[in-house]
Amino acid sequence: MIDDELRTDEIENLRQRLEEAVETLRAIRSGEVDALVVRGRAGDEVYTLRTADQPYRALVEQMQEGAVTLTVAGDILYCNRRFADLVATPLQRVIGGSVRRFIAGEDRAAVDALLRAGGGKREGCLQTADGTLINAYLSVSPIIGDEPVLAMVVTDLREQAARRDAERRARGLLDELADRERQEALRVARLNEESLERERRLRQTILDSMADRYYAVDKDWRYTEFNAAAEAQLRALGRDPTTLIGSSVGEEFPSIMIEDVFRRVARAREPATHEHYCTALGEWVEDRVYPGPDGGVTIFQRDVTERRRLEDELRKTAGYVADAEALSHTGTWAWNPTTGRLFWSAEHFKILGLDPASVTPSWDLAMRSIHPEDRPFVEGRFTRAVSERQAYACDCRVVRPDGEIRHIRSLARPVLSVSGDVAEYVGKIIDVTERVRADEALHRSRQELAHVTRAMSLNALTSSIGHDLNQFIVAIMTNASACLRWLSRDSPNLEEASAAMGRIVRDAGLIGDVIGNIRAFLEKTGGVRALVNLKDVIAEVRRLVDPELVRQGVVINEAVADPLPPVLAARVELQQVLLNLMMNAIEAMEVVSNRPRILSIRAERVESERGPAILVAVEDSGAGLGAVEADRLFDPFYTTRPRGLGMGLFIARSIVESHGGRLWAIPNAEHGATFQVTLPIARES
Amino acid sequence: MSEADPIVFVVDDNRSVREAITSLLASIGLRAETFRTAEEFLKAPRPEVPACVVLDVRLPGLSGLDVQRALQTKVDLPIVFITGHGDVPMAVEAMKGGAVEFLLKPFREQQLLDAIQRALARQRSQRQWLAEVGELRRRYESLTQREQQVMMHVVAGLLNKQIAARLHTSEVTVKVHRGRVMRKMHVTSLPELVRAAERLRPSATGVYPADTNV
Repeated sequence: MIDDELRTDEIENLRQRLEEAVETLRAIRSGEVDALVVRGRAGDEVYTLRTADQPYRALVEQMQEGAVTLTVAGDILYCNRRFADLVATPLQRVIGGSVRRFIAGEDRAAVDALLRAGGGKREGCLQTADGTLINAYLSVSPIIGDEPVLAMVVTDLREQAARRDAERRARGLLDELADRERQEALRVARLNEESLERERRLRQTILDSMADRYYAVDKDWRYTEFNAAAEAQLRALGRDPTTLIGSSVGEEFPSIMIEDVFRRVARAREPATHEHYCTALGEWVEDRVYPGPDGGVTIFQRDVTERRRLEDELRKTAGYVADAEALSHTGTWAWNPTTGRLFWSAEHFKILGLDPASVTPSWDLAMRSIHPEDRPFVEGRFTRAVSERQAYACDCRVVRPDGEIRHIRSLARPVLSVSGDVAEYVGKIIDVTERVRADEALHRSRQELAHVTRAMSLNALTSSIGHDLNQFIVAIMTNASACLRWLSRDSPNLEEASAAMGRIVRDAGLIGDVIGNIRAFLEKTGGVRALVNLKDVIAEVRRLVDPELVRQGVVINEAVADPLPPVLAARVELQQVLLNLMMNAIEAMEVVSNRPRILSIRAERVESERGPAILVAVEDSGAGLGAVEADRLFDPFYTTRPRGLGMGLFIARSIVESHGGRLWAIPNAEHGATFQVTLPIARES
Repeated sequence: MSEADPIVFVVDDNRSVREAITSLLASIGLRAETFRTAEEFLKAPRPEVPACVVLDVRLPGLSGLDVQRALQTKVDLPIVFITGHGDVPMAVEAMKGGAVEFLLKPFREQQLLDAIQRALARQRSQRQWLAEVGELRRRYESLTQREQQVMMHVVAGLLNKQIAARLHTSEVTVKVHRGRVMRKMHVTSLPELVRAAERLRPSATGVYPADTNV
């Protein structure tokens, strides 16, 4: 029957709900929850970590309870709309004021004590702006990581109070009833039917005033009693309440598989709680089953669909987040600098190749996972970001325990508390290994293509370069012969002989230069980027091209500004670009026979739209460009030559663009065309 | 003809090659004068000494073959071609133009020196031949018109009697003229006179007989 236990249970239930809310808040703040689905009037809204305080706010706003953050002194830092409504005061007038203003006078001291203690729970009266007193349940707890800040959740107990009043009344009546029963026991012979009937009615009134549905069954599982709420439910189910009494649970609701619970309670004489879905009602119900006085049980049932829905939402949201993380190879972490607590999501563990069951997230473990070469850099970046309260992003490698290396992009930002301190850092690590590998493969194939085109452009120069080398060989052979002749004279002329030897050494060195130049040019990779002076690059390319210029009867004009600031570039790649442009210029002039074949190369500092740059212009007096040609010149496989691959200018442009520069062609006013390259000047740092 | 030291002109666009050849020639006592381009060479004054030219076929601007054509009117400069690009048509054209040698780079120094010696020798003999022809011409021009007529008939193989008949004069007079012709032309026999006349033929003048020791 209704007793103390029921009331205790009622309160316990409320406490649990409050603790759930507090726990949700805590989980959001500590990063255990990454996103929330909130079902509002506008439909479902997903709040993700990107706006970490948004779901937190949204949740707080959606709470049925009033929520307040406040200082120990009781100053309200923030409250939700529900609280403002409770105390019938506009939100903006609540925030900033003292909470004591909204506490009924007799409860102020107690609430002060709660705040000083840094937490606790009690009932208390709120006082609204118009003086109305509201019975409420106050739960104060510290906000994790921010000791001076407290959270207070205020639950309006008015509805519950009404119910509890009824219960209290019932309890009093029950006491009275018990007294009467005792009297009746003393006067067994004088059974007073009328009195009993009145008591039954009273009891019924009490039961009917309850929001919960009440059923009682005897030891044979036959219904003996039910209340108004239960009657409403029976009607909703299409049953006739008048026929229920005396029928058995099994007959009435064969689908209810709760007899086990009933039996257990009846046998053990211990209450039990059972939750199940009622298909007919379309709601989740919670049955609190108590042992009945006659060997049967009493059942208090309530609709818990809403609570279940919220629980489900949270569970689902967590599932969605986990799915999203797995799909996007993104792990989440949250770190509280004050407590040192570090949270890692499942995907975070997976990316690091760690087992959540066997390791505990720690900053030390995270650092040990980072590739030793990247560690100092990452540590430096993170330490600086923390000290400056800045967001940070960096790319690094992690080494999994099995030795596998993964490339990750790490992003993080601080979450500032109300007071402006860093409450915590939340971050993502994204496994970008596949993308990095694809980039590397692309880079490799581009380099190979560049290598092939370099080889091809050099191929075109083979005969000229061969001729050039041949000249040096002629010179060396002739000098050697001359040297021998000077020595084998009757009176050897050592001066002339050593002069000849000197020339041999010099010419052999020049051969070495030409070969070295070619070899460097044919390196597989474009080489590392370094500070390069374009004047040197032009000179190197001219060494390759000059014999060809002579062969083709081309006159070269060179105008290179001196000094020329350096650019940050891969030397061989720039050589390739210039060689390509010069060879194209020479070829464009092959058809010219009625005017001089002139190749001009110019290099100077200019101000481009992207800042200071070096402009290199290669101008020829050849056939020039058609409108269509100028358009398509830089397309891959576009060529006007029968044996050309058509990749030269395409590669040249991609090289220049990879250096942050531009390459374009313009037809000359009179004859030929000019190809222009801009390359950004290397910054001082 | 002058017996001053001969000069070898070297035209090559490669400085190393020019320096090496200069040194090689100096080692055997030959003086070299070098030029980077055909234009520089053609503009330079040429002293009246035995000379030849070592010419690279491929030059910036005018080519070696252009130089050969420019020199063709001046017969006194034999050419040794050196080239890194050995293509047959070019060699044929060079040789047709009267080149002494067409050497493919890299060559043995002895080949070059031999070719230069041959070129100088040819120039020497050509100059000598030209001097001889000049002398013969002077002698021929010292003859009277009648004596020249008699000489042409004698060389054509006519008897004195036939010549007298053609010239409407006496056989004795022809004999006197003939004696004077022999004396003035510094010959002692008829075959000698025929050979002199042969060398005086206009078609032969200016054409140097082919080198026999190629």
